[in-house]
Amino acid sequence: MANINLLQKIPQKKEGFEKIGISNKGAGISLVILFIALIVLVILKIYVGNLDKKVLNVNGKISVESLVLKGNDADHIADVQTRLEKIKSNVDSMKNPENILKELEKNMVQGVALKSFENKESAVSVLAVTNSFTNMAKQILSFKESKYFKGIKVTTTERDKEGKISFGLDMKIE
Amino acid sequence: MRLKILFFPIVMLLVIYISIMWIWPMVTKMETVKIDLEQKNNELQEILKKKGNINLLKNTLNQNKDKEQMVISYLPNDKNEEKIINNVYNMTTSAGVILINMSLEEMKPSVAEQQNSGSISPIISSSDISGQTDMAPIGTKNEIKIIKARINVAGSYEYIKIFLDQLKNSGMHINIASALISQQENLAAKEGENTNNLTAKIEADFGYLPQTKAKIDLKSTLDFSVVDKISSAVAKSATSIELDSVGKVNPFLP
Repeated sequence: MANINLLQKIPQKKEGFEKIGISNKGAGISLVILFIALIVLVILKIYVGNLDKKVLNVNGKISVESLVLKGNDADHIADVQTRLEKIKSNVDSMKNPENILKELEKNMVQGVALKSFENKESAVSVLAVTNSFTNMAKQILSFKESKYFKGIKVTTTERDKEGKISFGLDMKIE
Repeated sequence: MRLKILFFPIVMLLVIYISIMWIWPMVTKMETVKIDLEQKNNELQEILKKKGNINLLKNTLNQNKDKEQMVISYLPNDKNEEKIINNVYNMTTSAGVILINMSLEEMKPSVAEQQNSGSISPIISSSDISGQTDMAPIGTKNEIKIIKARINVAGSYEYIKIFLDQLKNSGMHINIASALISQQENLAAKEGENTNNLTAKIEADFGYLPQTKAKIDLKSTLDFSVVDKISSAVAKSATSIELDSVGKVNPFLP
């Protein structure tokens, strides 16, 4: 009498308690996860808000400091720097027809005289007069052998009434 | 009891929804803002560095006022036609050639040059308005303007060479664009090939650079080394034009 069914009912009660425990735990965990998610969201919102404020702050500083860069002093310095660069470029790249004339002098053949000389950028044109074709040929060869003149081209050849030969040459300088 | 079982998946779905709809975009935004902030900070540091540099350069400039004057004299910010005319005339006299004629013409920049120099584009760009500083050229007008001088002189070969040399060392921003030296035709016909009377037609481009508010990337130093090269020429060309007597009752009288 003292032993009837007591052992059989106790395990049933335990199962019920376990089911209730699991579902309660599941709800608890899910609530914790939800809570964490909400906390993360709030933290992110605050952090991004702070970053936005920092960006605005830096933008403000940039605007203020930029005014100094756009001021008269900066313009003045930039102006002088630009002028110095332009002057340097001008001095370094300055061409002088006088130098070309000096090179012509070095390469002129006896018996040939220039009637005209023209220099435009790196092109040089000369019109010369001589008494003989031999001199003309020597003159062309002299220019060709020069290191200064390149691309020698004979443009005109003409004998006048007095028997003199006029000839034109186009050349390039480096 | 069944509702309790469904509670977990429902909450998990809610968490997933919150993560996808709010947390993930917020993380993305955070990363973008972080990058933006870093860029802005770098930009600010760059500006502060340039600001410090400006102060240094300002001091250098104050210590080199005489050199700055030479720079302005060599490459003025205005046309200075009177200086060109006066200097060319003085050079012809000094070289011993006769100045037959001289004309000046301001060269108009082509549309392409205008576009290259940015003179068509507005000086203030959108980056200025937004407060950002792009120190790259903004609507710069840093192109040299040209006054073309057509100079006709007559003289011997030697003197013309001296004149060309003087022109090159005129102490002004100059480029001798072309030179045509030829025998004077009438004299050549009369005197034969021995004539040394030549005429020279020279086209010289004199430059000037208007002062603008263009922004260029400032360098850390001012390189005045070129001034030493031009100083003697500039000093020679600095002869000012004196106005002796000004004022006349009848402007039509000689």
